[in-house]
Amino acid sequence: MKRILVNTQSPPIRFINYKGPSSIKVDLNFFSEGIDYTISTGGVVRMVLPLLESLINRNYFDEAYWVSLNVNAPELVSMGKIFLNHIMIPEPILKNYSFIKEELWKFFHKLEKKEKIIENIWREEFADFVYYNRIVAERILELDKKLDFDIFYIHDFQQLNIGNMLGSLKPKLFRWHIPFYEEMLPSEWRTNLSIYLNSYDGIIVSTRDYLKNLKNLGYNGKCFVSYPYIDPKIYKNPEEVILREFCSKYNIKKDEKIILCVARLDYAKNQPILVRALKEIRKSVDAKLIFVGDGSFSSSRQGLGLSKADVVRNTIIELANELGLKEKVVITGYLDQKMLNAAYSRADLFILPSILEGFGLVVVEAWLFKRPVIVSKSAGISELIKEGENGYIINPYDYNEIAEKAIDLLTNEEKARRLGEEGYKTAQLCTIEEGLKKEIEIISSFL
Amino acid sequence: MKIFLDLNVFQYIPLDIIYKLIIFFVIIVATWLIVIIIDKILKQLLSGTFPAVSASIRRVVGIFIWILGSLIALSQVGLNLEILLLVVALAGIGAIMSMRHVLENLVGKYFSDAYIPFNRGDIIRVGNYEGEVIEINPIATILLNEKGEMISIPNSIFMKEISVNLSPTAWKKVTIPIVLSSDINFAEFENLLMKYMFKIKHFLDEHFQPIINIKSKSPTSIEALLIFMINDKNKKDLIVNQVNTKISEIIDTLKKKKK
Repeated sequence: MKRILVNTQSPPIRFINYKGPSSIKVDLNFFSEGIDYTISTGGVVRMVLPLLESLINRNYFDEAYWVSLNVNAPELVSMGKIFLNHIMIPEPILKNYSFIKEELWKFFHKLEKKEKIIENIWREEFADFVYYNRIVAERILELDKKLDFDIFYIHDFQQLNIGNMLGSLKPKLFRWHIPFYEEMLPSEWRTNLSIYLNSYDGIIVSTRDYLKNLKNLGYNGKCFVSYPYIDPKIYKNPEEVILREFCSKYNIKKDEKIILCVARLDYAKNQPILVRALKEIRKSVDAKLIFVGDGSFSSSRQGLGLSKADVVRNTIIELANELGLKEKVVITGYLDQKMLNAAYSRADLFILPSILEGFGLVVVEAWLFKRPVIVSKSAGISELIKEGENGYIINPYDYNEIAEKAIDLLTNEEKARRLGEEGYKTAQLCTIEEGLKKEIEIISSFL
Repeated sequence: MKIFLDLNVFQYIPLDIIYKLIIFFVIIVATWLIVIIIDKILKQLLSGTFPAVSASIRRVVGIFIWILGSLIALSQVGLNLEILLLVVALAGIGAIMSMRHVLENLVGKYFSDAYIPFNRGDIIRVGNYEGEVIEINPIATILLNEKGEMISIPNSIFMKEISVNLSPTAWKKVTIPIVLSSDINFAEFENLLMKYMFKIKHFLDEHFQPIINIKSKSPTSIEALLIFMINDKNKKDLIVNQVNTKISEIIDTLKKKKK
């Protein structure tokens, strides 16, 4: 029997108000989606879940085991041939783990200074971060003893040292989901990072640039570029009634130009710069800015309980009030798929202003609706953008540049249409079919 | 054809001989059971070592117990054991002589484990040989020289010859072997040890964060290595001693907590 072990920090399933015992095994068939649980919206889960389903359906594996952190959930959950193992760690350790994870995340997104990261990896809280990784590694090894996996597939930066802890000779694959810039790594941390990275037989990154950086750091294993992917079938123009509901809910007028930004509320996404740009844009065009998104698993109250999203939300609101744009800036929070499709469908322009973005699949989503896009040069996906052909690239700190390019596209319908059409063609590189083909090719090369 | 067992035959054998024979067989059966039990215990204890070494040790111990059991059993039936003992003693000395090098190497490995002056990946020189350490096993340390030749240095050599570690940062690197009984929660142990290491960070090289690697795991024990780098060569002894003391303290704390 062939089995794959997958490890992500975020769980694929989030239980809603789960009050049952944690140390039990449950079958997800006995629970209702939307009432008892929801499928996590995080990018990593959205990629891994269809990948596992596809690997099982295509007979590469008979079963998949998925180890992740999950609070307020049963310890073992079966979803057909995918078996979820939830790790629970004591509250004080979880708090310290989350703190270090956030600090690392900020560092890799250039939101933290080099000196600060050295301070952080030598502080007591880092021992709790290591503790979480060790608990995960021990659980994986325990499962491996019983189930004899064929491959371990570990995801995301906060789980990097699990490979070294596993010590197994079986193939270990790692997917690095966030930006990876070698030049920003402090010399004090390079040896350890190199040890952790080299404990994997293969590493997958999202862009060619990250791959180059990985090699520069001294990674000796096999490395691959695989663009993140989404299922285009989900992104369809909504029915007229849904579109009307969306416009009515957010008070969108017929002739109003809509600028859309879909991103979780986070410092790295840099949403406030768009509020400043809107002030300039509105000197030429009657435009409204719509932010879609909420906190992530780590930054929402339902997840690890950090209030990062609230801080960003308040910053946007305060800035809009200050600039007299209260009625022209809307924060929708989380939208279900139908309403999200309505947002893309109604948008005249999509902007992603992130200071640093691992990839930026939301740009692909906008392309699937043939919308023109303006993307930060710091987003991984910018390597797919040909300036003026399928989008515009901007400096995320320069709101005047953003405003200038936005006005160009909002006032030139033919150009906007052409960029949207070209973007749609580019989006095909990041469809689930393409992504799965590439990932399956990589995984099977280790079997 | 019918076979009749005439139990009356026992009335012609003296009772003390029957008694001695019973004792003889009881001792032989007991020896057999002891060999099986000791073998199982040794198998578990040695599960982290090389299978060939484990098998050899188990075989030697088994033979020793059989000889001891047989001698005790034979003494019960009144045989003169002096000549037999002499033969066994000579055979024993012969066995020890023939395994002398293996034992020396194992002892050499034991002492090098207690405080390892080099690690895998280091460039070392021993006698006329120089190369990168690519393997340290219970019998020998394997070097790979510049020509791509593999050089096997018996571990006992390290107790007799001067070895030179040529890696530039070798003096900084400290590897401390740790053996824990498997009933101790390893994640908790690691957590407490890491917290301690962070507390003494001013003595450590900030270019290398301490790492604990599990070397082997058996049902009874976990063998791990604590690897870190120091920043002051004059304090190496002090740091190693203090860290070792802390490791013992943490183990004691976790054992008490478990009770």
